Amino acid sequence: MLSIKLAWRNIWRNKSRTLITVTSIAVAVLLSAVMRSMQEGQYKDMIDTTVGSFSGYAQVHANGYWDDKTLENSFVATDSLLNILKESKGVTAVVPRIESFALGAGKQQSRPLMVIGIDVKSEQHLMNPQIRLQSGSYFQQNDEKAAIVGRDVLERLNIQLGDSLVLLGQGFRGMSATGLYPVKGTITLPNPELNRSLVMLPLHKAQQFLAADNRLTSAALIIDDPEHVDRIVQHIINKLSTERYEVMAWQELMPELVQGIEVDRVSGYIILAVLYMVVGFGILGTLLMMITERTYEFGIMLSIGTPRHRLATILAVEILTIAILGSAVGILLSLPISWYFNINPIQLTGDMATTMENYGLQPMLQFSTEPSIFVWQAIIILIITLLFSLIPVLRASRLNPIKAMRG
Amino acid sequence: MPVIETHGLTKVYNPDKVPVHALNGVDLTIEKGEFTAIVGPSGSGKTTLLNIIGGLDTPTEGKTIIQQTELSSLSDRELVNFRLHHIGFVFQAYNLIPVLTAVENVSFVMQMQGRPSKECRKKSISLLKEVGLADKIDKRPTELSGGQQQRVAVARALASKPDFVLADEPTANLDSVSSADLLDLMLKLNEKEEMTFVFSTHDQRVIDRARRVVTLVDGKIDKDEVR
Repeated sequence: MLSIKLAWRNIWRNKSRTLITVTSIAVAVLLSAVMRSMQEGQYKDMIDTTVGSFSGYAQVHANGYWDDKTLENSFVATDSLLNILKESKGVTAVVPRIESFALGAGKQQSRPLMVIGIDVKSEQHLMNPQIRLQSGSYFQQNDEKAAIVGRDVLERLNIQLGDSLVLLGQGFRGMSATGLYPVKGTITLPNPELNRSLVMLPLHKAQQFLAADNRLTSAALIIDDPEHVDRIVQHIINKLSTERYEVMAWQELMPELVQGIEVDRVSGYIILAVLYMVVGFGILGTLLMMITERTYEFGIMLSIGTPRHRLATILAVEILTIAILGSAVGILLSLPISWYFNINPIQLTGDMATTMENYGLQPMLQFSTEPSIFVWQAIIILIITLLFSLIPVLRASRLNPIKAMRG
Repeated sequence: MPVIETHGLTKVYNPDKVPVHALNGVDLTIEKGEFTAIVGPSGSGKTTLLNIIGGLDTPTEGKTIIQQTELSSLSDRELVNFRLHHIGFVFQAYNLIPVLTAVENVSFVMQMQGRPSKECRKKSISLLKEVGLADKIDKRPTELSGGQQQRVAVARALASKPDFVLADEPTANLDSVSSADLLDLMLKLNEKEEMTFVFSTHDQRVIDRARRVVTLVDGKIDKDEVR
């Protein structure tokens, strides 16, 4: 109690020094928390864009499909399989797809295209083509003879909305695949490659085109919380035959995305480490100055019998209180900034926007408001403050009382 | 039984460079209830002697025995604890903790001893009354005069119920009235409580009122006069 009382009064003994120390800690927490919030917001956006709106957080395939993406590795969409998936805890929807490649031709041009057969209803949970339509209209049913294409496909094939698109390819078990589909709409996706090459057909028409009745190449899973993806994947693996099916989480489906995020995260940590060091040495300087100013007083305290550990405790409580105050102020300042840029993402323009679009990302910086980011930054700065205060605290507690009183 | 005994105390500063002999074999015995002034010119070793008796410094040779405990046999931690329980200190000036009030400064030592805070406060108030500062208990050092601060320091020195009080030039920074008041107080405590006081001083008015005067010259006892 006495240690706390002494520490508290000493904190306010030199208000300007305390304010400078609190401010430097608060600014460090503010900068590091806002930076991490921007980074994590960006990663979440990348994941949402690439995973949440195209591949899904998990997928079920026939065993071997991911290594050899051919229709020979497709699987029959049995009711029992779909029921197992739909009834799994945490799965909110199952989105069946059949995917292949074909040559698309207009009147004068032909281009290689990516053909995806989608379930008209359930696809609204994932790609949600209806709201991404740039022109035309969405499919009515799964056996409708129509195609919706990426926004740049029309231009590449030199055709118009309503024109017929000829598709030529190879179906299941080497069958020849040909079809003629009126273009019903165009769609804008965040990924420029898909805008250039995607052709969507209603599921049944795509299965007919590829001579793969009732077959799927993937069943994407919509889950209630992306954090639970590993648990859900494990649960489904336990229920399905691993000889026939493979169940993969998004991290496995897109390892390059995971690695990209990790590399970027590490580079962010390096910048943060520099910031932490600058702050640490600033705090060290302030504390050494404080110890020097109070050397005589510490000498008196040691002389009259204050145990060295009590002196160290008094100083540690003082520094800890300042560090907690600074961290709290830092969190309070950083939260509204991150919250504001979460609601109003920074829209990027120019080359930076183009670069991001080329990577299939939305050209904006959306900050994360995940509480753990702020709490962790405050804890890290708190630990750094305490680590850097070890030297001055030990120095004070090891003072020779006579030398200290001589000044 | 003596409270303080020193045998052949020698203190040499800078023994490897330019040796300075601060003490040269000081043998001194102080009995309970004595009121002893250590006097001598500057550099005669008064402060060094008090520091060694107080366990704040170690002799180059010789030994110090306080209440039958030889200080050199104690570890640093034991020495701190020994000072806390056996010795009261009064320094020249500015020796109070600035952020604590008078009563808290007096309580501080008792709280360090682990005594309950209520008891500490009660005892501190009673000590402050005894030194004539009943109306200043909640004042901080900056709100007290030099003489009042030294009175608080005396109260603090007594708070731990020490075997003796060491005072290094306690009146050096005080005006003549405050010096006389402080000396009256120390004498009163010496007579009433039979508290042993050992203090260094240059002040002739203080020397005149001491019951025993030990004169140091060049680190040796030149004269030991009991009045």
